Amino acid sequence: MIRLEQVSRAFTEGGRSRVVLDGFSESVTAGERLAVVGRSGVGKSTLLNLIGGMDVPDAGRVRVGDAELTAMSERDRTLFRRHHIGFIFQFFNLIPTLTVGENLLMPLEMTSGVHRAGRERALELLRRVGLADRREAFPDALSGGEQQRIAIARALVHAPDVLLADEPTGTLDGETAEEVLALLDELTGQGKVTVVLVTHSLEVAGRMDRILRLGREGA
Amino acid sequence: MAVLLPRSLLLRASLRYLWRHPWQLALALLGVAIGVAVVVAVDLANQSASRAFTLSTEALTGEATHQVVGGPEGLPEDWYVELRTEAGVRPSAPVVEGFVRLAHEEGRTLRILGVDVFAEAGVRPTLGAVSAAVSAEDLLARAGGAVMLAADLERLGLSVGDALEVQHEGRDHTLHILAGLEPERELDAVGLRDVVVMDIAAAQELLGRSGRLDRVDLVLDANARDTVAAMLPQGARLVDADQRAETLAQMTDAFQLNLQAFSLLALVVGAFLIYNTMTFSVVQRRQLMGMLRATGTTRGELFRTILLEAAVIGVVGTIAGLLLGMALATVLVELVTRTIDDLYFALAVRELNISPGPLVRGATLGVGMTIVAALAPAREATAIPPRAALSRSFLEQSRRRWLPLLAGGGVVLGALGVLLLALTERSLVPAFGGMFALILGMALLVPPLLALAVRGLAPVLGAVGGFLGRMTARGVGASLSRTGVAAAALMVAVSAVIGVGVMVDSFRTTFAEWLEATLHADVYVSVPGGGAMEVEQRERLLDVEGIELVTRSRFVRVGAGDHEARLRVFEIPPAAERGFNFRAGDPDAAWEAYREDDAVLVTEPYAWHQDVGVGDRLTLTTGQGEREFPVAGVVYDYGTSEGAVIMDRSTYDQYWDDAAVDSLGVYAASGVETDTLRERLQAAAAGGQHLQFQSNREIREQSLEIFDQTFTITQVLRMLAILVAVTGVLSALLALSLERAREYAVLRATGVTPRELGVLVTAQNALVGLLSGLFAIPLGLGLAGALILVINQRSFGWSMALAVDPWILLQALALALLAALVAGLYPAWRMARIPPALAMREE
Ligand SMILES: Nc1ncnc2c1ncn2[C@@H]1O[C@H](COP(=O)(O)OP(=O)(O)O)[C@@H](O)[C@H]1O
Ligand SMILES: [Mg+2]
Repeated sequence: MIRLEQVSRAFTEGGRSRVVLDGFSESVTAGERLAVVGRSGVGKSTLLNLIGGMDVPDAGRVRVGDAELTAMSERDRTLFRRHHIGFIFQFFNLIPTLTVGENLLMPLEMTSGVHRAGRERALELLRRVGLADRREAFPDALSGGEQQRIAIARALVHAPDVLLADEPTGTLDGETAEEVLALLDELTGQGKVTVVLVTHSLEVAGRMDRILRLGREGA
Repeated sequence: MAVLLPRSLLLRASLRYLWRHPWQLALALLGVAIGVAVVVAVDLANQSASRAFTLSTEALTGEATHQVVGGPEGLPEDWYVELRTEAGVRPSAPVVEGFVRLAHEEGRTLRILGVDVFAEAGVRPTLGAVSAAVSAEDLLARAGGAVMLAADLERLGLSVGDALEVQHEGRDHTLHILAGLEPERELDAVGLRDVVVMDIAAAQELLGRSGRLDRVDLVLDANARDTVAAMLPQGARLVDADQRAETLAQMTDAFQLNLQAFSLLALVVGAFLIYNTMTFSVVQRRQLMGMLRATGTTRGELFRTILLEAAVIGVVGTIAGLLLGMALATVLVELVTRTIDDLYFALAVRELNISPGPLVRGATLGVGMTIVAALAPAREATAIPPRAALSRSFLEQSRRRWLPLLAGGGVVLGALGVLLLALTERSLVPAFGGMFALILGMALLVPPLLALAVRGLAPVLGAVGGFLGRMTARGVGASLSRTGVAAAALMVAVSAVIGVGVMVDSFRTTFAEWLEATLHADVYVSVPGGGAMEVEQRERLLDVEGIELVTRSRFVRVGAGDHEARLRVFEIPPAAERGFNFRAGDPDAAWEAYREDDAVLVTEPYAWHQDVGVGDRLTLTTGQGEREFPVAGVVYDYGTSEGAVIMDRSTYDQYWDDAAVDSLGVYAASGVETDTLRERLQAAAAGGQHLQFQSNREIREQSLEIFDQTFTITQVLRMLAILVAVTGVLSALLALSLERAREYAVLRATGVTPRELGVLVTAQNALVGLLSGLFAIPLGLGLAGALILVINQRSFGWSMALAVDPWILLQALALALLAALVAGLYPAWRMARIPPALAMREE
């Protein structure tokens, strides 16, 4: 499903170049759930950005499904992302000027359009994340844990092939984080979606199918 | 002082912050600079005009304390001889004065000052010195012998001995340059510009005033004053020289005050920019400031830091503004001079006079305004709790609680403004105060109105544009502190454009209608550049075939108690009576009194400035001494803002011995074409005094041209206000998009293309522009009303009908939209390029 071949990415900042990924290769099969762990600054987010087509490598190839992201234009990558990828970020996932319900429908409106079936799916997801009664609320009225639960629902509502999550519980307290991850686990457990999850927690990583350690030796 | 200053590291951090946000900094500086520049430029231009006027009156009046001024007939020369020799009143200097046109330079005039150089010593020493520079023989003997400033000669490309061709009252004359003056005093060097000094006899010959003087300048003590007063010839007046100059100078006061008020408006809009920049900088640094507070920085220190930042921006922006203002003033001084020239009196302002006054005023206003505008954001900074991790939306919510307060304040201020405008009587300052209160009140209402409008619009835009449409509307409402300021600044500028536009348009319409109604004759004959027509020319014209009727007009200035009044002497055929619209008085009764009982009409501005009305009696200095004339009516008139008294020719002939005629109105007999009549008149006049023949349409067109030229300055000020507003909107929109960058990055990450994002940001900007334009319409109309009904009325004494051309409103709406779109181009471009990976980065 996901294939990175000899991918290299370096950043230059203040005249100095810093290699983050150097000839990195990895593949994730369809439906597989991969946990990525490693020290801060090691390149975990960079990896997710490359898979999501939000960034392009300096060298190497990135394939997601049939699409070779590294051969696509910026616009095509954006459209690809729109249809095939769901994102959960560490924070600031929701658009503050849209209600919870509208946030949830946004990916649908951009892809298949908001049909009856889509609405039902959105409602069903809201129910499953336990927030059906907060549909009309604006995100700032929700707690951090609730926001992340909505973010999971939003990332999945248009049935993407790949779900990318970058430390989705990084800012939450232990108990809430547990709840959110349990939810993520539950919603992605049937092998319908390929997951790449960045986390600090080895316990969380343990629930995934496989763990990828990024570090000096891996880079 | 050291205790008042924030700690130096704090200061360094804050200045570095400004430096790191060059766009914000540049826009804030630009806002202050343009605001200050406009104020300083208008001030400098006004001062230069006033100074030129003062120097020229002082140079021309010299040491004289009093003047004996003749009426339209002038003073008999013998009387002066009697005064000087028999009564022994000295120093006393006779003057014959007039204007000539340069033959080779269209539209340029020179002032002829005919004096007796030997009598000048105690009055105008500089002119007295002429007798040393030129041999008396030359000056007295040469017809057309003339002395000018050496600098003027150089400008005209002349040297001593050359001839200068001039025209006076339609006749060609040749002046002979005898000498160039190089006065020591700056007063004379400036005041005598465009003045041609001649011997009195030569001047009398040139100006066609043999045996007559225009005035005698005197240096009198109380005793001598009484002596002179006792021996005044009929029709002459003894006036205080300073007071006379003062009255003349006061005429332009209202005009200059108007300019100043408009320039202040630019500064007010500039203050929005500062407010905006400082608020933004505080909002952006909430985390940092919370941390500073946690580590022991006091509220006072934070407060002072923000104020100091503002002061730095204020000072730098003001310095730039002063420089810009001086440059701008060179353009404005020309426009101001032209307007004064058109509206009031001839004025030669050749260069900008940079005096410290306007610069100091501009600098004080600039820095002061900046600090005042920064007070609120500085207070906001002190309210940040230690270790704040407040989200932006929390902040906006706390600000939303202010909306009702803003609305209340806006209504109160607006009402105060209306009251000030409606309840004060004559004075201009409270009227301008009222107008500013109205503007400020409406500006305060903008954020609440904007919030209401976007709340209503969200479902509509959502239906049209999906979630992007909904975000457009809600985004404007969610960042009210940005969008509100941008909209308020834009609204103020656009309403000024509407207000002034509608005012000028109404004025122009009224003026055009008045011209249409007043100009009844088919062909008007007059002397180019003004002056009396020669008798034989007039007689030749009267013999032309195809004339139905000829009316004679005479324009003079006569003494009227404490001032000098313009007197328009008309012959008004009954058919032309309806060209006069009465503001006060019953037309039928008025016309009867006018024709039969020596009554006069006064124009509206005259009635306003002199505070006279129907039933009052005007005291005019006639050829037979002072006489009273009843005022039978007040008529609308837009010819002069000074105002005029209108008198029937038969009345005039009864009291003044002055047969002169300045202009003829010729009515064609039925069946005779205007052009044919004009050709015949031209043919009849050929070879004699130069005359001009204008159809009433030509006069109308010419007058409207002068009108438009007079209002060029308002157009320029309008453009400047818009410029400041666009800068304000740009800075607000830029701030807005910067602080929402992360939100946009999330959108990009979830698959929104750069183009879609660009459309979203642009749509938001357009919404702000459109709503500002809509809000500007009621305020603009209110301002137009205030300008027309109050400001113009009090400044110039003119009343005019409010004429609202929907086209102006549409243009203003388009202007607001365009301003917001142009200002939003860069922010939109920038946001479209946001890297989606930004969403992943830590706060
Ligand atoms: N846009 C960027 N510009 C410069 N440096 C970057 C950029 N993105 C990431 N980096 C650098 O690349 C390295 C890896 O970053 P990241 O992938 O975010 O690490 P993490 O594993 O903590 O998610 C870091 O040193 C970071 O500073
Ligand atoms: Mg990371």
